[in-house]
Amino acid sequence: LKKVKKVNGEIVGINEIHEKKPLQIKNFGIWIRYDSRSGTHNMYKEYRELTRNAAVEACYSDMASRHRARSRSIQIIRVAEVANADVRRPYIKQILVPGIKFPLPHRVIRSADKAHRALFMGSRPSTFY
Amino acid sequence: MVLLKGYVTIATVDPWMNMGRTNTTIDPSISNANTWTTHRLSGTQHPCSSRSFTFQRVVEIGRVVMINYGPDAGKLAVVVDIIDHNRALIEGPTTGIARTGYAFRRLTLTPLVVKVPRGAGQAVLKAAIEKQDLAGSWAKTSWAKKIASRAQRAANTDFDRFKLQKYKKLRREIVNKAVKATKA
Repeated sequence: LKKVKKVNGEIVGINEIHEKKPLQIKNFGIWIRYDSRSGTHNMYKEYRELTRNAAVEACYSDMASRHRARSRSIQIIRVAEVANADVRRPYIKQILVPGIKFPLPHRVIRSADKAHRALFMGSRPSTFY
Repeated sequence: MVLLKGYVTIATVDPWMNMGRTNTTIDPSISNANTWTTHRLSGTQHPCSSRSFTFQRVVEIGRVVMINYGPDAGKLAVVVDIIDHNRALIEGPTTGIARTGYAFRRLTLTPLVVKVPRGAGQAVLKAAIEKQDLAGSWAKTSWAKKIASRAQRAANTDFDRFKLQKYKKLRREIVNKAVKATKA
């Protein structure tokens, strides 16, 4: 793994990875090694995104929220597209079910733009969709 | 179970009750029965507490949505695929919405559905929309009519408002005369 700290290394070049098919939803499996407060662990996480970059961004955000791991403590070992049949995580599998449908139970009615926001309302809004 | 305030959820078999929670295991053998029912607890102050509510507008492939925030607000699009429990891939070839991922937060579900396969391409989607005459069936809904009348009222000139005033007065006179006749 790349054990170079920012201070000791030199950035030679940065290139953005452009997605070949940005309109196709893909399942990304990301292998991570991260430092927690009391040790370093390996992890495998899955994300359903349109682009590789979005998946990695989601991963960093997710690790920060769930494990309080800052980006400096995270090393991404591998990012790979995973076929629908090889998905391991149930929270991704449930989206892959054919004929998927679900309601949105709590509807919050917001104004279309900030200028039309109401500070007060005459009656309590209904959240039924 | 999703527990809504003041509601009791019945029909517990649906795996989509777990949406939003990413660490629960979904049993794939649970049938995807369309059994979204919530019964309002009798004794709440809501005026229609005796009715049972089923969710009719459901996120699914082909559901027509209206974008409700941002530069494309007010335009219709069709759900082509579902990214995760927060986002869908939508496209509106006839309304000028490019294929993009959109959060459900920024969408409003409509009662209309277009029959398309999951992940359909733009050409297939466009053909299905035109075959079903989505624009026509949308224009017939009272929702679309209300939008149209609001737009018309905003676009009325002073002369239009004057004409409207005269017509309304005429209608009022006719109605009041008829009412008076029945009372006499």
